[in-house]
Amino acid sequence: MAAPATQQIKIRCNDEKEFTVDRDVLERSVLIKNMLEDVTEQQDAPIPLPNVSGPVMAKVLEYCTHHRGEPLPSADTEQSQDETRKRTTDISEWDQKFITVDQEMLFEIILAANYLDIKSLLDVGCKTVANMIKGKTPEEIRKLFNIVNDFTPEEEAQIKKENEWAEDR
Amino acid sequence: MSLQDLPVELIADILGELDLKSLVTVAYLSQRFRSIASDSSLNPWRRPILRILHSRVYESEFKHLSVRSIVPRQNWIEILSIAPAPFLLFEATLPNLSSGEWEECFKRRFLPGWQKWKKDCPWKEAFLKIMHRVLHRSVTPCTIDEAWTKYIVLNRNGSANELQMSSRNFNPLAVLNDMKLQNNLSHLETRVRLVLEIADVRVLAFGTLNRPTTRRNVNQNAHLFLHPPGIEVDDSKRDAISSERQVADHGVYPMNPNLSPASAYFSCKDVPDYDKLTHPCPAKIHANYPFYTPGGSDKRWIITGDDEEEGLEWVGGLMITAQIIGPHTHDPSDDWAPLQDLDLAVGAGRHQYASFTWSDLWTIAPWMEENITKTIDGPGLGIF
Repeated sequence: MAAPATQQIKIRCNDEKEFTVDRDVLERSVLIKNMLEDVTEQQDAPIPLPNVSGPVMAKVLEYCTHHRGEPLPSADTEQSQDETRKRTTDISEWDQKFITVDQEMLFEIILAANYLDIKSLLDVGCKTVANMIKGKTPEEIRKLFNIVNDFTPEEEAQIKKENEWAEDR
Repeated sequence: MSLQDLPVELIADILGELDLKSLVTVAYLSQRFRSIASDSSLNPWRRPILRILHSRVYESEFKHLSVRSIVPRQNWIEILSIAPAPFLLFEATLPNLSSGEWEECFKRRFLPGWQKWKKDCPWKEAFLKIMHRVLHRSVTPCTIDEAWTKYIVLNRNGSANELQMSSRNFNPLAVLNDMKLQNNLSHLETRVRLVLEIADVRVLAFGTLNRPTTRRNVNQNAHLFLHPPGIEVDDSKRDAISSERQVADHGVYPMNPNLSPASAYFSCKDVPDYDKLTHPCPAKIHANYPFYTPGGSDKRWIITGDDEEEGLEWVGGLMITAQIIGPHTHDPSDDWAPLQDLDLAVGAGRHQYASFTWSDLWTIAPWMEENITKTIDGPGLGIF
């Protein structure tokens, strides 16, 4: 017996780029899943996604296609896994390769994952940035992310004092 | 698009993935990062702190976190409720908290019955005094602070007694043996269940299981206490549990330590007025208490196949007591399977007990209030 055909859904990004994607792939996004559940009849009009651009959506869809079929975290498991999820900055090999992109794209993916409500992708993004920060000196981090040190000399002195107080002697 | 252009919630999420040392570094990178790090509603410190508390590997930055003005004070409620007593008493720099915050810490950390020691002193003093006492008792056989240890017995007839014994002679296994003798149950093995673990004590239940010939012998309240109403069996997992069963013997014979006995249970959400315990705050292994907590350490009841407790039922009295957790309480004991039966009561660091009273029972098992027919202070049937 032939497997039932998967429903195809159209989405439109903010740069008018359109994608036609299997429903189960798109349902990795809780935002789209809820949208689809609210629509009773099949619609041909594409779902507008005004906060995501075409190239970013293409990356997000690559992630969703790879992880299709995996269980979505329920509100309950989310809570119970909160610590587990945050316990490690380990990222699977495939996810690591997937997220090896330039900084601009990395932050766009994080924004898109947050907007589309794809928890696992948001985690991968946040953990990747955290891994980039770990073990670096303040100057190295500032240089890496173009962060300007805007503290006044008085504030700098205050921070220095606080650091001295917090040192384990 | 750069890191600083992300919404503050997402930056806080990223900061929450960092270890404490890196988070301290990032918090002082710029004004924007400092304001995010010190925002008590975003609180990126919580997750790194919880990771440290649960891993028990304390980074040096953790000890004096309280002197940093960028760390929101609320984090100290959790640290004071969970961190081990020696760290809080001898290593950490404690913050300046309000009386209400110390009260919250006290109620999150200790059994409610321990409030008897507060008397007229401020909450901070009471908290630290008890911390010293419990630490002292966890490493010495000293009983000066509590000459009499109270415990509760759930009787087969539905009543319950709050009893006490001289702390110096208190041994729950001996007490249960005496109860078994009086009830003609000496031929049955002693069963021990870990009911709940909190920061400084774990609540243990001692009783006997049997295949009773008549319902009159069954202790329904013992079953209810260990298996709260509203927590149901997940039928889909019965077979998996059954196939994992290693030993058919129902005694203290070691079962497969990997067997997660209550993993076939799920919490029934539609039970009214049934909340996760927060005061006192359960240890990680019982994080969902009174609901089942996955992970294999929540072994309040054991199921194999279709049968709870291997088809046996609690008979005779069930004794409930509070064991003080010392540095060796969690060490493996002999060949027994961990966290069930004699492993809980025999071995190093398992001989110091604290009082377990009515207020403790009503707090950790509020559903028992309507099931216990009579509460009796002291021995006997409560007939005057």
